[in-house]
Order: sequence, then structure tokens, then C-alpha cells
Amino acid sequence: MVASIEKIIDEGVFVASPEGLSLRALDTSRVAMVDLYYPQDSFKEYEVEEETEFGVSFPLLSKVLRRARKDDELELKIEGSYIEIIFHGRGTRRFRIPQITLSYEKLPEPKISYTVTARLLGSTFREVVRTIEPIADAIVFEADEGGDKLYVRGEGDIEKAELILSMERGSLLDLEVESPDKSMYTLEYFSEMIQAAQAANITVIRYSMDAPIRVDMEYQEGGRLTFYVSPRIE
Amino acid sequence: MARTVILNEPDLEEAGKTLQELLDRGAWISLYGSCMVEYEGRGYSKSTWGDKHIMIKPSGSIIIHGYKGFRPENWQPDNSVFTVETREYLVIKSIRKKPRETLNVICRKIHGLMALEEFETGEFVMYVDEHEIRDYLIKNPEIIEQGFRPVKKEKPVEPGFIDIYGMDSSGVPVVVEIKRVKASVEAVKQLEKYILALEKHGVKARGILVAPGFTESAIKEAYRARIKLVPIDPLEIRKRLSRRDLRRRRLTDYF
Repeated sequence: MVASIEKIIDEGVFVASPEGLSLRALDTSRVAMVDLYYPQDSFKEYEVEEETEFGVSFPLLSKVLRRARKDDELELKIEGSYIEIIFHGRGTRRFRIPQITLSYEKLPEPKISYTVTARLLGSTFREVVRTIEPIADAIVFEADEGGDKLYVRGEGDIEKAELILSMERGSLLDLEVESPDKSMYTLEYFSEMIQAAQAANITVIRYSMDAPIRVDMEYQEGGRLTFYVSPRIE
Repeated sequence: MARTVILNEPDLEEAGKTLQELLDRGAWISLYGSCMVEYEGRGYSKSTWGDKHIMIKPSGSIIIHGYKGFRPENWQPDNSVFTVETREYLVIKSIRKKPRETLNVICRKIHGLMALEEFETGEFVMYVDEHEIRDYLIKNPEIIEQGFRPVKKEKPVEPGFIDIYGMDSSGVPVVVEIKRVKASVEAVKQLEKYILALEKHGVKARGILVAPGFTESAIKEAYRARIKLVPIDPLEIRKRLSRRDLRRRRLTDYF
């Protein structure tokens, strides 16, 4: 998950409140936003007395987290100006990385009313992006009028690809269509999201005509990672 | 009518506060100060304390000039992100994501700050480069010929690369060569070389030369070699491309 965030944003400020851990940050081009939320009950243990903010360099955090082994338990501790990352598995491994000083800008949620909502398995979402990646630089979503199919197209300068997702064929878990809208986005952001989709049970896509798309990754433990991407309007 | 903000010798706190507000409002900012500049990215550079002229444009670029020469000492391109912090010094940090580049302008004194808002943008006439024309034609192939279908851009052949390779409405292969200025006889000859190279592999292709104009000798040679000439207007293409750029939106437009 962090590997996926790392590709979109370099630095961000986590906010740990008694309710949970959150992060919201824009990428430097201001085209995409990452919004992460892990409620306190999604952790095995969660102790936050008062709201604490800590700035993180994602390339650095990702480097440390790559050291995790399957079945390790992860402990995250704020110690002064450092973040302590402890892996409990066969033995204990402890890392210390510096917090970075960032001015924390509280970002609002984009105001969009979505007309199409599709739920699919994280693995299906990953497969869709992987399929069109080699030929396309833009991804187009279009819901059909009957409201039972979602067309996902990949568009390059010359090449094009089309995938049809439907509940009937089992590639969609659910599809709600208020109006059969179509919208286009830069594929690069989706390529960066799919690492996070790997561990996600369910991915929820919400969009409307020429408006930002919202892609939610829902994790088993109750955490959620959301990506927003601005549309490409041709 | 443009609105101006002018601060003469502000203290660092006032300059920092005003600067942040101006950046948030997308103003066109210019300031003189005693500054030190650090750049880290594809290399590392550092300048010692000296008076600098710093310009920040609404498009997100920053340009830093010293007292001499016409080239800036440092710069970051459009879409850089800025943060302003005032402690002992006023620090303007500009970050570019890809490639990762950071520019820190550390100021110990601001001599003057001026900004423009609601300025007239005017028009800068700039023609397009060949790649932009090529990509535009791929998206609008009917400009080349009705029924033309692009198959590959920059197709490698022995003498070089074919700008656009495609098929005409009857399925005949077509080699398209693009020039952004008036095409000379050399352009026609270059196109003929590509056609010949394909012929060696058993592909009989037609040639189309696309350019804003053609010299007399180019017209004669094209007639002889049965190459079709298609005139284009690069200024019109530039205008259409700029209009498209304007439609690129940021997420912050939806907040």
C-alpha cells in the first residue's frame, strides 16, 4: 500500500487521532489525491492520547516496510522527531526514520456527485489495468444504458483496447448507474494504484461525466485507501 | 485591469505571509532579496548570499536571476509546488515531482516584493514542433486524407524513422513525412527513400508530405514521384492544442 502511495506522493502528513490514523495528500501536479483512513479498531492495539501529526517521506518509509516478512506484526511508534517501525515476527527488528517537517494543509474532499459506482475484486481491478497498460496512456470508463455493463477502454495514440465488465460474467460485484456516463483519466495513476489493490479485498470505482474518479481500496482489517484522479477532457 | 501588490522592504514575517497569500491566489510574483539558493535533484548546486531577483509565475514555475547575464541561475518548470516558511530566514521551497528536484531559496532580507493579479495574458505566437504536429495528425487523421488510418508513429526503416505510417481508404500503405516549415526538395527525397526502403521488403507504399508550404522544386519533384502534398497551418494547430491544454483540470478545481 505504501509502495503505491509512494509513487503518487513523496511526502505527507499522517494524523493520528484517538479515532484512527489518516493521511490526505495531493500529488505535486495536483491531479491526484491520496486519502488513507484506518479506524482505531482496525489495529490490534491502538494508543493515541491526543491528535498527533507526523510528516513522512514515503520513499524512506517504503524502503523500511519492504523489510517486512509475511505474518510479521508491525508496530509504529512516534518518538520525539523520529518514527520507530518495529516488526515482530521471528524476533524483533527495529527501524528509526526521521520525521520530516511539512506544513500541514488540511485538504477537503472533492465535491462530486457520482453517477456510476462499480464494485469489483481488487484482483480484477489490477488485471484490468495490467491488460490495457502496454498500449494505452489513457483509461476511459463508460457505463452502458442498460446499467449492467461497464466498458473500460485503453487509449493510446493509435492503439485501443476494450474490456467489458459485467455482473453477469462475474467481473463486477455490483454496478449502480444513474446515467450512462463516460469519463477519461491518465492511466499512469492507475498503474500506480494497482500495487495497493493487490492486498485489497474490494475496489470501488465512482465517477461521473468529466469529473474526478474516486477509487476506494477496502482492506480486510477495515482500513481504506482512496485515490482521486482529475479527468482528462479532450 | 491588473491589480498590483507592492511591499517595500517588508520584514521577513510580513513578506512570508503576503507571499503565501499571493501563491494561494495564483499571482504573478516578483521579488528582490538577499538570498542563498540550494538546488538538489539531478545534481546539487548552492549559491552563497547575494542579491537575487526571483520570479514565480502562476503556472508554477520559478526563475532566479543574479545581477548579470540573461540566463537564470536557477529555475524550476511549471507545476512545481511551493511552500513558504518564515523562521530565522524566509524559505521558499519549490518541489518538482518527476524527476524529483528541490529548490530552496533562503532569504535573509527582502528588498521589495511586487505581484500582479488579474493581469492581461496577451498572446505569444509560437509554432508547434514536428512531434506535436504528428500527434495532432494522428488524432485527426482526416487532415491528411479522408479515410486515412494511422498504424504506427516513428516506424523505423533503414534510412531513419517514418513520422506516421498508415493505410489509405483502399488499404494501401502510406508513408507520411511531416515538416514544420516550408518543405524543400530534400523533404521529398527523404520521403522517396522511405518508400524505396519499404519496397525492398515488398511493401508498395504511397507518400504524403505534410508541411505549411512547399518550394517550387519540391512541388516539381513531388509531381514526378507521385507524392501527395498536404498543406497545414501550424498556427491553427497550436491554437487547437492550447485550447486542449486549458481543459486539463486539477483536483483542486473540485474542492
